[in-house]
Amino acid sequence: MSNPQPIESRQSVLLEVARRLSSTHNLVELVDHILKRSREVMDCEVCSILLPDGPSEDLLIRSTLDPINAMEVRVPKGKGIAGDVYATKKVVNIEDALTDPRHFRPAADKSDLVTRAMVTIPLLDGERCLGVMQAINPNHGAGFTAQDVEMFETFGSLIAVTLMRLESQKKAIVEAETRQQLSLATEIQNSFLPAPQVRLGDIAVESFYEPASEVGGDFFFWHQIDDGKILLGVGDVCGKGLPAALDMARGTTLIASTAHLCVSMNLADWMATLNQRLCGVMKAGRFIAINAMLVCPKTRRVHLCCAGLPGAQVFDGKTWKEVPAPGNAPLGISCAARYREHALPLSSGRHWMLFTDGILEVQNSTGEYFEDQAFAAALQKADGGDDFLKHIVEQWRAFAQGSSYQDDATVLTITDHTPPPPADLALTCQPDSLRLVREFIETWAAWHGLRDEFTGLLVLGCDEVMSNICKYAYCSTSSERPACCRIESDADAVRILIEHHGEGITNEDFQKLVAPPSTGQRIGGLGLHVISEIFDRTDFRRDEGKSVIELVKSLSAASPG
Amino acid sequence: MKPTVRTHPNAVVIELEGEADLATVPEFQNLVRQQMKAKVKRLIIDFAKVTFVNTPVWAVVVEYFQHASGAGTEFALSGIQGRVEASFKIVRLGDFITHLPSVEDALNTADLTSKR
Repeated sequence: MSNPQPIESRQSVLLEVARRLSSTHNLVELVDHILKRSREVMDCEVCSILLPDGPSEDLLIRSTLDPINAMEVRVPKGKGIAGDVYATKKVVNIEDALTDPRHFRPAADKSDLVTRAMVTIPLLDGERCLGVMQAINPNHGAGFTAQDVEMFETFGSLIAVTLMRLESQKKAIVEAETRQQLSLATEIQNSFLPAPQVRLGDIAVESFYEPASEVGGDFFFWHQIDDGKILLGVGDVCGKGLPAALDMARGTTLIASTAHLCVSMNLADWMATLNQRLCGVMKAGRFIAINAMLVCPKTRRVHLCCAGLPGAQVFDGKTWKEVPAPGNAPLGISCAARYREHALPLSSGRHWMLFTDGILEVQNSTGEYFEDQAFAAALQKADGGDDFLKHIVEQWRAFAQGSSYQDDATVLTITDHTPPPPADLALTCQPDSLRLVREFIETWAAWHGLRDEFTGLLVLGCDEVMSNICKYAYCSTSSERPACCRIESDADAVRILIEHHGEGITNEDFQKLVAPPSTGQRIGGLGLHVISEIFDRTDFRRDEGKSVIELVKSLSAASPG
Repeated sequence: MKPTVRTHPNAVVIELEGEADLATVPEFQNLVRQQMKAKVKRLIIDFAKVTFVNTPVWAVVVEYFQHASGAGTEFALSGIQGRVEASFKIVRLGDFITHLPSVEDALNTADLTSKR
């Protein structure tokens, strides 16, 4: 037995190690140096450090005994004196380890080491145990002294601080790398998104996009294609992070490359085509929900195809309503999926809104979903002003204040700035001026996106009324022959009011005069027959000295889905 | 509306073009009555280029049909399509008056009275 090192010598080693600890960034190199120097300080046969490795929290041994390092010896969680110290965070100093019931020699340990005395200390960061250190078989006696233990603990606390520093440095490096990757992915992803605002003729497109993390799966798109049509929509790729960003890039690229097909293809068929192409490139289990809209400014029609996202909203001038479009399966799941669309006049609303479920699913600090009450209230409050999106977003943010977004949130809106045609026409009732009535009806019906067949009937019916007024209501010598025509519609029907100051007929007259078609001698009443055939309701009345004809035609045949 | 009269070896064809309405009825009626006076053996009114027709115009057609029935004249309409067809269906003149897809079809038909 040799005498332990003098205290001054031990302290100088401690200081030298402390300097080394603060200058190295290599954990293996650092551990080897610690072990070498601690063996000198503790004046013992072997020193080891045992650090948790992986989620099992087995303790991986690093030792001054090279064969042990080569064997990669592990102590299972809770096993042995090391496991006990790691769990209890209390120092254990024993003179005869072999007789200790906690003693555990891993099967992988094939070294010749015979353990006698052993001191084991926890490496502590407050309440957290970072690992343990062991000094085995002192050279200067049968066991380690209290002074040895105190020195070893001082050494251990220094090492614990250094391990923490290294751990946080490693974490910071990983985080920086992740941030760099995410930043790059975000940059790539944003390059696939179009400008957030655009004006396409009389159609204004605006968007709001709020990713839950730096790389989200939401996206929006708009493409003006030939024939003046506008294809736009919102999408939500399942999942998050880089895989979602890649699928988003695939989706937006395929949408851009197939948008031109909508010149001759209806929206539902385009969605089916897009679905087939996505099925060919997306991995199993991944899919994209898309709500797409095709706006046709020429025909003044809007086509909607909803596949896996909440229904579109339309502001009809009074309230926001959900467009009753049929639901379809998200894209990328099945090549055989079929898609259905819903078509309606662009004039059904001034504002239209598509959005992803992240808008509805955001929760406030009390756990309420935006969908529950706040969404309807936000729409109501935003009203139909041109800055409605700004108001909705403000209310959405205010609702979600203090809580983190669980999902990306995207809104895409369109506003139709096309000036509406006049709904009134005043004219002098002459044969030559009847053309003006037909043009008036045509223009109004075109703006309202009514089908050509339906419009043709409205034009014919009004012309028949005006022709009768010209021929019969005013005497041939009257020079002042005023008449006016007003047209309006609601969700169910078109209503036309024609007023004149001539000799009008009553409903009873109408019933008597209307004649079924015939080739008999009497030619007359055919116009009234046409009127009765075209309109679902007619009313002939006198009102404040004027003759009024009210014509109502149901829209059920005007704009089929 | 621009009415044009074309004389073929076996028929007279009145070609209408544009919108046929109350304002154009007098000219059309005048033209048709001229054919009555001329006692043509076969008259075809072609609507292929017409975009609108109302009942005052159909009334002129019925007037000639009544004349033709009494005078033994062959009479047919041709080229009825689009909105004109919708109007023609409502007044149901197709139940009485011969109508063929094109003026060529009408000219090549041996007996127009059998095609009603």
